[in-house]
Amino acid sequence: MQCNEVENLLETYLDDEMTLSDRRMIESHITSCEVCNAKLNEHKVLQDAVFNLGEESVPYSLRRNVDAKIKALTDKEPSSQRWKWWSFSVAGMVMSSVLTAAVLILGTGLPVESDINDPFVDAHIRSLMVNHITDVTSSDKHTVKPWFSGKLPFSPSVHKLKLKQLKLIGGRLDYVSDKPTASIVYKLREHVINVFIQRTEVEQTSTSVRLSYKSSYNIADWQKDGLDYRVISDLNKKELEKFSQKLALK
Amino acid sequence: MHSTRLRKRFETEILVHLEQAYNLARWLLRDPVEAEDIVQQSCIRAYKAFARYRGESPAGWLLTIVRNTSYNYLKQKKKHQNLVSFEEAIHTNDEDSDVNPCHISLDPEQLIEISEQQGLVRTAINKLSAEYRETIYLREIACYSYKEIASIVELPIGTVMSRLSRARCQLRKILLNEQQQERTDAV
Repeated sequence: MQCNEVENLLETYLDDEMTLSDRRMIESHITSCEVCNAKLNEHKVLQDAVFNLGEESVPYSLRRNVDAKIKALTDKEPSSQRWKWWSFSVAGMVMSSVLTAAVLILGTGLPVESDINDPFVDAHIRSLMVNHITDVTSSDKHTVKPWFSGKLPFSPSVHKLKLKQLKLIGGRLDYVSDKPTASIVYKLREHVINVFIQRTEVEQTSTSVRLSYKSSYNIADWQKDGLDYRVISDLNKKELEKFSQKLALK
Repeated sequence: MHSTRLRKRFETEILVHLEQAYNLARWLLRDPVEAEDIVQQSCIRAYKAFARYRGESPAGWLLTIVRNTSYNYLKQKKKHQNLVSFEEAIHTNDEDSDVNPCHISLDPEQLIEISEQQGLVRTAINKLSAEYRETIYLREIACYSYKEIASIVELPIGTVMSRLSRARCQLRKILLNEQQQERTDAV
């Protein structure tokens, strides 16, 4: 293939919109042609720069207004269903008072390590046990991110972090505490790192990274742009903190 | 009036794409408050039509509605200078002209500088025409395929490809200008 032909196809190549045989031709040309390789890199850097802008999260006001408008356009529920809602709300009230009590007890200085199972730790262990670490396996963020599209009520951002020996492994769809959850999976040496992302329901005053320890796993969590992040791994505390700080800054 | 069941289906099939809808509107309108308004209107339109919807791409369907609502709004507000100039560009046969490969290239040093400045990239995209902005968003950020973009913007794939290529070339041109501007400002 000639350079000018290859140049014409570089974007289609990067967009992954090419037949396998064409890809092979481009690849074999690039390995031997520095000029085309530099051009490919140029396209790639610019594409990444735009991709890294990411999506803005939906303002709470928009979500609330849309929900309200759509409810107003819907028929009233039959009375039997109203009953259900009523009992739900009673259950909700009971739950919330239990939670308040729990918060009060925890707030009085009990150790951070608790006996209550952490649903995220469970999800982390499950991902290792059943050999179901990823639903989409790729070290390319452009593959991992779009895979989540339409599967979650938000789109998680996927970043490649510049940390020695760190690899992006892929992504997985989870349900943790009855909420749809994106799990982005990394590996640092042989340690699996699960990054769980959910939509924020309770805003915290502080958004900085907090570290804790549960059932022999190190955990880091923070909030950013309306999302809750929780990182779990058997990696040592120092490295997990470094990883989380980097990710939280992205 | 719609039933509760239909509403639930609308929430799980259509409203899960609210984030993309909002982002597309933000890029098109370049204003977060207007974007909220347009997305809200679009969701209501979509909900009213949802009982008849039989398509296979709920995300694309919602985005098409957001897009049409946004353009109507832009036209009404006479904010459509970009739109007009783009249409003129089509009439001057730009659509057929060969802009691939793009003759504007950046050296490695410039590339590194650009990729480290998100503000610069954002401003540059916002200087593109509405059609270019949406194409860049749909491909580079939302990662839709050519075929999916074609269905969202209701154009043939070939047109989408050349539009994308021209949008990228234009973006380089603006980035280069912005960068030079910054450098001269710094001196």
